[in-house]
Amino acid sequence: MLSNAVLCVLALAAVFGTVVRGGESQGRECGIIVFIHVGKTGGTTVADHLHRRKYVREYVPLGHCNMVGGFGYEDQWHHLQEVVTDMSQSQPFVDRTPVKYNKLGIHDHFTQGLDPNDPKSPWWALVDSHTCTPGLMWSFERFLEMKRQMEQSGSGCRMILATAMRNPESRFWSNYFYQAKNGKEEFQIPKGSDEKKQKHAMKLVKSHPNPQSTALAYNCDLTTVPSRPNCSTSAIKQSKVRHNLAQVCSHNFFVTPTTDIVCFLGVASGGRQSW
Amino acid sequence: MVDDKVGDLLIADLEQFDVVGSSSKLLDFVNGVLKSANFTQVEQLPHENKNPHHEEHFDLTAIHDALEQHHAVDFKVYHKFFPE
Repeated sequence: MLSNAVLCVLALAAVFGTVVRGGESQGRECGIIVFIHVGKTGGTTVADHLHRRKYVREYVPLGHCNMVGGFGYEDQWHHLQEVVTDMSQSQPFVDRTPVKYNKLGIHDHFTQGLDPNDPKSPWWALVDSHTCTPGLMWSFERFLEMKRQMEQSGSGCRMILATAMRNPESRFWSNYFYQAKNGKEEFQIPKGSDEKKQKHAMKLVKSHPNPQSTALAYNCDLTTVPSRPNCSTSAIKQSKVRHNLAQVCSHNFFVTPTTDIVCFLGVASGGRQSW
Repeated sequence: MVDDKVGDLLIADLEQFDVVGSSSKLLDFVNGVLKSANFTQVEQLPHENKNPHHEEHFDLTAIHDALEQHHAVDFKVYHKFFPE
């Protein structure tokens, strides 16, 4: 039997719309959606839907090729780490000034709820981890450490890790015709007999084994120049680094950019496997 | 390159994800992510297959068999989450 005092507290919580879960703060709902975007899995459609949400305030383009250079790979991770730190240290999380605003959220016709200017409205950041991002063998422990940091901080903010895969046969054909349409030389479908086309497709099946797992696991090499991932096929072939060796550096990952780079180099040189 | 061991590591990583989706059920995936963030879910996706496919020029059975051999880890990881 619940006491009157407990019932009173529950009623007040219901009235004010705040439900206190175990160990969480009563602040606004907050967090980071990390979308690992593997090419030809419908990811552009997914990312577009996530972008067009009014409570997604900040965009963290982790690893977009055209962002690398002036805003290098490690800069992008430090941008993400800033969000994680803000969402871990403020209890409850109130607000932050985005490094990059998500401008598409104003087109949101779906989300029902509080006005985004309401201080109690949800506050989310979106990470779209796509091309030019080293894969999970490099990045998973790093994401996991950030997730732990946020979710164990008591701020109430969460990190959602999400990815989509595609049936490998369906993905092969999608990629095959996509690359041909976009003029990638190796994928140019030969004119002439069906026999020639068959031979060409078969060659690509063999020369690009397990492309989806390769993208998820490695995607790009960070060994040569840590601040600029190399997404060439030859670089991927060299990137045989076990992700769990990154734990060696996990305590130093977020100290300074220099530490990160040195740590990554250490993992890269010490973690090579002859699988 | 990716082999069975890497496939196993990938599966272990992906099992710790909050949402793993399949592009064959993209709406379910998007709604899974939206639900995790307590966003309003969607009922349809404006997704068009932008690339024309002309698979009629190929021996699909032979390609299928080759894919099963050379993309075996991809199949293993995918079917771990989406057994068909």
